[in-house]
Amino acid sequence: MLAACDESDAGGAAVALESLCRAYWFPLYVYIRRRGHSPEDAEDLTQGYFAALIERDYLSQADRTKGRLRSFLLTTLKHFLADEWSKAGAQKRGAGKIIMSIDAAQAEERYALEPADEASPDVLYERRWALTVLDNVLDTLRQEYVTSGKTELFNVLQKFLAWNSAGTAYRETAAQLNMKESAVRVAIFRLRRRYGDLLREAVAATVTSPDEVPGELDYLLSLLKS
Amino acid sequence: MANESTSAVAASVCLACGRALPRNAPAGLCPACLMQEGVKLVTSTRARPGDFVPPTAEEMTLLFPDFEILALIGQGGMGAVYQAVQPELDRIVAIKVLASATASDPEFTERFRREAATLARLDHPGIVKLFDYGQREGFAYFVMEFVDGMDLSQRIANGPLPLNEAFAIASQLCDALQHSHERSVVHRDIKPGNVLLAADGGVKIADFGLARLVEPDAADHRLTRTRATLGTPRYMAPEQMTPASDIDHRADIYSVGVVLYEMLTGALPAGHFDPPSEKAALLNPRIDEVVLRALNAEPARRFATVAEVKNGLREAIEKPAPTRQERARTLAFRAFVVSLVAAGLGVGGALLWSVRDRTKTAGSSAANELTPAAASTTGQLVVLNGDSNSIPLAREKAVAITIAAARDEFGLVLKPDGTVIGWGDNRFGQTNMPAGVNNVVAIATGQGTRSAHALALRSDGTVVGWGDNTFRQARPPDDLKHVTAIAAGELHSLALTQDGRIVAWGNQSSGAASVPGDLPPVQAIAAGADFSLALLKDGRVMAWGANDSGQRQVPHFPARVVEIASGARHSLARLEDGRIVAWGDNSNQQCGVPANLPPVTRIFARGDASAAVDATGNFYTWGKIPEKLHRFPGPIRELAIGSTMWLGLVTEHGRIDESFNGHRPP
Repeated sequence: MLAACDESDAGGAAVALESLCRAYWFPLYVYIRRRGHSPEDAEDLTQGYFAALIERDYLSQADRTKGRLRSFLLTTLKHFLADEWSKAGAQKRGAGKIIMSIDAAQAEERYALEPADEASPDVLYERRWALTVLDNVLDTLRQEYVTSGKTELFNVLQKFLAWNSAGTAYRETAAQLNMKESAVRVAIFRLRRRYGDLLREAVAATVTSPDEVPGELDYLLSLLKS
Repeated sequence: MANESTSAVAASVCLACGRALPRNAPAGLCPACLMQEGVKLVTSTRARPGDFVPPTAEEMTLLFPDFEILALIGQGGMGAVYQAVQPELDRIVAIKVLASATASDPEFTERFRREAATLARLDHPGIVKLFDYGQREGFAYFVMEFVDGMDLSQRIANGPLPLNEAFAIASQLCDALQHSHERSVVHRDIKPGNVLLAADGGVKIADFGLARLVEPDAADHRLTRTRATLGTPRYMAPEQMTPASDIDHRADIYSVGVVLYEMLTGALPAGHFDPPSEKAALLNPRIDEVVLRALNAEPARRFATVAEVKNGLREAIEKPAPTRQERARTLAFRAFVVSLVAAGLGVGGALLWSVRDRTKTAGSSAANELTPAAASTTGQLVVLNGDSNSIPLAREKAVAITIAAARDEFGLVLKPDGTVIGWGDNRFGQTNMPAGVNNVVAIATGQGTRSAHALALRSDGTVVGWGDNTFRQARPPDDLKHVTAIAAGELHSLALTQDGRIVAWGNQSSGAASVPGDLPPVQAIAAGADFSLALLKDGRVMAWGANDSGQRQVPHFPARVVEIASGARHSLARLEDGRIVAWGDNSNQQCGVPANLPPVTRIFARGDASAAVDATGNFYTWGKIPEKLHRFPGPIRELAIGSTMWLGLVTEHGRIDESFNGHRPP
């Protein structure tokens, strides 16, 4: 069972699904677009797919599927797209039960940033998935700092998350933030630890057991290094 | 990865990894580097949520700006060690960061402060100096002297050490420990990995008291992951493995004994082990006495101080090698090994033996596989009841004895040279020793009407069987090895292997040979006529096989069980407080443990009879026992009970409790 779907009550399951959809709709949209669908169709198909996901109880299939959310969503999306019924009725069905709306203009804006190389839809989907995991984790992390009134601290220190790209410019950073150098170091330490925690949680929600987290992370890293 | 917009936007490149920075990079950061750091943070120890993830060397520079962190030089379940430079003082130090989920707990903080302050006061050239300690961002840390060199485990990996080198290391180790013991500081985790060999020849002990700090309440955490990763149980004294026992400096003495043994032989004294001189040909056998005394399962029987260990070693080395006569006696022991299975002693016909006749440990109370028993002794064989003329070797020295409690009696005697002789009924050839019955360390015969097979455990951990083989009960599996204890039932056989597994063979119909598939690790075994009994390492007792007399109805025990014994249809369990619990068939009152019994140190059950020995060697019997069993010359160390005949192995000192009057058969 996917960790994120491990909700005993139906309401909880719906909430979990919705949050997963919010988190990972874009890789699916990118896949559909790369398959050659127009922006309008892609929008409808993405929404229709999520509606079908609920209506056809795909997620209870996830209960039976030992596997990762990443591959589960892509497999079921392929089934959905291959299904004549869905091709014919996607818009209509989707229109009635939109569980999340997609801002078509924004989606296209983002899609335009995707590499225009010859990568297959599957490859693009996976790479986009890995980036989405990072996007989501960074968003959550930023939100935590914003909520506690430390927006500037986050903006200045976030470059230390990728570490090597930041070097060890503690003194300059301290001056910039008007903090002591030792305080900056500790702040970076905390930021990085929290980043690690959130990344683990995010990935854990997409696999069936915590034991799979390291393997999934390694795989995501390999996608980004390719 | 081609980029279409080369003209308009110069493709930026990650300065760290050289990869093109994609336009959709999260927060403009290189995604590969970002994920790479994440992988390090999340999986550096393959951690589950809440596990200890040691700071990376880079992170250490954040936490310890006063130091230049050079490298992460060691990492384990209990912490991580970094080499660092302290520029202000121009010295190289080691920083140890402890894994502690409770570092933010005020109680831990207080204990840590107290413990560390004690350690900081230890000032001895043989102890790694503690410079500073504290807590940062939830991590407790120590700043310590950095010792340039190797640790003893690396040295031992190259093979055994010459005696003079081993002595030099051991005596420095003892000096340093004596210093700390005089200040009431017990190390608790002496092992080669904590003995540092400095490049200048000095020996320094590291990680004083850390075991206690990391695992303050061992009793509650024995089975947790934390405990598992912490552990160096192979070097721990038996009492350290026992919940809620008081640990004092003698635990360190035991560990020194293990380290000594390993230095001299290159091997650990685990399972069956030879005395050091048996493994290292040139070694003066007098060393054996020192090592084995340090390794005694009973703290009270070890050396009283580490200084005594050092003195004992020096004397053993300086004294001339044993005389020819003494040597001959030692050679007689050549075939033998020390059994580590204290609780297996005398259990259900399984008799294990020990090395020195001067090692007088009554059946050890610390029942686990790490306990060098040195428990049973070579003793004088006496006939307690029956015709002494029928028994060879009567009044001779023997190591172990057993009599099949069957309708047709036969018996075996294990002689000090590792051979076995038998007498009595021989219809199945049970008293003809087959080839290969040599280097024997334990013997077993069965109980029950038609019991007529025998087993012998050899010093290499293999088992030989002979006699009645109708149900293949005398034919151990071909691949059976690493056996530490054996037991025989009427028509089935059991062996306990070093890793705590039970292997059973023989008659399948009673279920006695069907070991439960999910049986947890076992520390001792016993076999009744048609049932089997196991004492698990976690202290529970399991029974399987026949249940017509309630043999399988294991009662609740009011205290931890440390020894088990099975008769034909009943069983006894000795608790750590010396009490006995009995269950199963009581038709001969064999389960009627006498109410006035003092705490006992050994139990015996055989046929329909029960017996026990107390700490002073007094001997008690109940159940169906021969009438003449009243007088004998000394404390019984081992006992063989047949259907008409009783044999004892006795040692010189002891007395008979004339006043005792247990249950007698009518």
